[in-house]
Amino acid sequence: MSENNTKEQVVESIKAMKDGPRAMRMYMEMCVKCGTCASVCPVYYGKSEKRYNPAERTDLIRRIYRKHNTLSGRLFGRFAGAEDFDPADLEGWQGIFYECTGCRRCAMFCPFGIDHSVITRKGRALLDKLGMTPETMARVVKISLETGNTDGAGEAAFRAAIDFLEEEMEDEHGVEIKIPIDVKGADYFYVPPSGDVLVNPEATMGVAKVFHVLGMADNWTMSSKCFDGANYGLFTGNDGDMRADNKLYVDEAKELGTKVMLMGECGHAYRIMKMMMEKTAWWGELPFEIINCMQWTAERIKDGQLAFDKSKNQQPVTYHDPCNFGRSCGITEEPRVILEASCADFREMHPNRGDNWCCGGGGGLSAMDDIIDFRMEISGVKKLEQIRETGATYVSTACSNCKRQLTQLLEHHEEQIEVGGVHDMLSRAILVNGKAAERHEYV
Amino acid sequence: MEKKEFGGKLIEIDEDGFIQDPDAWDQGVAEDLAKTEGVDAMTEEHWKVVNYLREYYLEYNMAPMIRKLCKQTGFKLKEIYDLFPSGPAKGACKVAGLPKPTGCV
Repeated sequence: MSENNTKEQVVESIKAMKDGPRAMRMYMEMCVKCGTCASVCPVYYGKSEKRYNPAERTDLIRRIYRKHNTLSGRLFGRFAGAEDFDPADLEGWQGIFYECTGCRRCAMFCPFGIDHSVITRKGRALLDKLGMTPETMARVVKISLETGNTDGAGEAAFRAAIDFLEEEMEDEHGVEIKIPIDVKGADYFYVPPSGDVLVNPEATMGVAKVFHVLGMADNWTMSSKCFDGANYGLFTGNDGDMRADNKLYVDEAKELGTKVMLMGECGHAYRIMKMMMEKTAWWGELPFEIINCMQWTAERIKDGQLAFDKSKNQQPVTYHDPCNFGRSCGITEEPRVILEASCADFREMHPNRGDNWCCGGGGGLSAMDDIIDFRMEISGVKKLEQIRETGATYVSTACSNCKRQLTQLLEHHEEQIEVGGVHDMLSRAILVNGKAAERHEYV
Repeated sequence: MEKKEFGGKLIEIDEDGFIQDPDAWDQGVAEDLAKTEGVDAMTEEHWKVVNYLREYYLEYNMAPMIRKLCKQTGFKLKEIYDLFPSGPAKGACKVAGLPKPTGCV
């Protein structure tokens, strides 16, 4: 693409924001650079440089917006905080827009409610249209659209993993606990992040045990085609990719005749499904309900239908609120209900819930090992301090993105702290036929 | 993508040193890859882990769960770290010629 075409494309897209969603217009017009966002941002906390200030980052777009959409910007240029787009800046953008974790903590504290993550996403969308999404991120989207999951796993790998989980559960409890696959007419369709099936086995074992204990082993299913709710179109700013990825899952739920789509421990998968797809009816009216597995299990605990042996989880455990669950979806109490029921020593980290600090790998950054130094030494610094203060030896979190970042972060800083999910702890303590798991430690 | 010599062959590797073409893998390649992960000499125990990973990958196009690797090879996680200081995913899988995992895992 020629430089002129690139310029025209970017400028037109930014100009069009004037006629786009009202919130985005406000974000363009209201910022007074008071600095509040920087003071609450995990990245800026890690390194207080202008480059990491959210308002400075989003000003890259705002300045072009002013130049083309405001009278003062047109007349007074730089004196009015306006500047035209220069294609030579794009390479810099590639780094800068992938240094925001999209955690939305800024939006909680900004006096105008400006959500810088939305503007970051706009910057990423512009890059994506020009084919400039960082390679490590573009690869994940490509694999996901080709195979339906971000690992590129096929049906055989999925079935082998499920066989192994069933074998593990039989070893632990001495009874057969099923994980049904492709069962049409089952009321519940469980959609985890693929990591919770292919890599970290215990979350899915936890969910299977809950169904088993409730006598509902025949009334739920997984899909051999759709076993990864993760959707990286949210991170690259490409709405088309995000919808294409999502449609596979909605179509599969319809095909299975699902009544409830039970989303797993993946914050952004649930956010897209519940807060975007369902709320704005991407695919019209849905014949099923969408809930999260933590909500579902927490209700069963509160009803007294599940029992636990907390002595199986003696170590101090804390919970890291994934930004997409805590801030963006309001799911904060349910994981705590599960952890308090199944762990002997549950401790809060502070601040928490909607005010929690990001793990430092949000917005898809967790999958980018090309910026690992940034994630370990800058964006993750605050989280490391928070975890250390709790004294916990197990950090539970409901997001594969957070898990990857936290595992790398704690290993990098030489902490002997285990990272895992919420249903993982449930799996270790839940009573099946009156007995908790005889768990094999492979450590 | 960068090319480097492993086992006497020029092989394409990604930014983290994972080989790109699993078919280019052989014993000599594994021995040289091991050196990049702090393993100077491959012993029988190293091969037990690498061969299991390799066979699983060829069958399923995917790495096994670490839990399964431990169960099937009889090594505890700590023992795998003793063999491959950078761990099962980054170390042992790389030596076995598996591509780098994508996504959140």
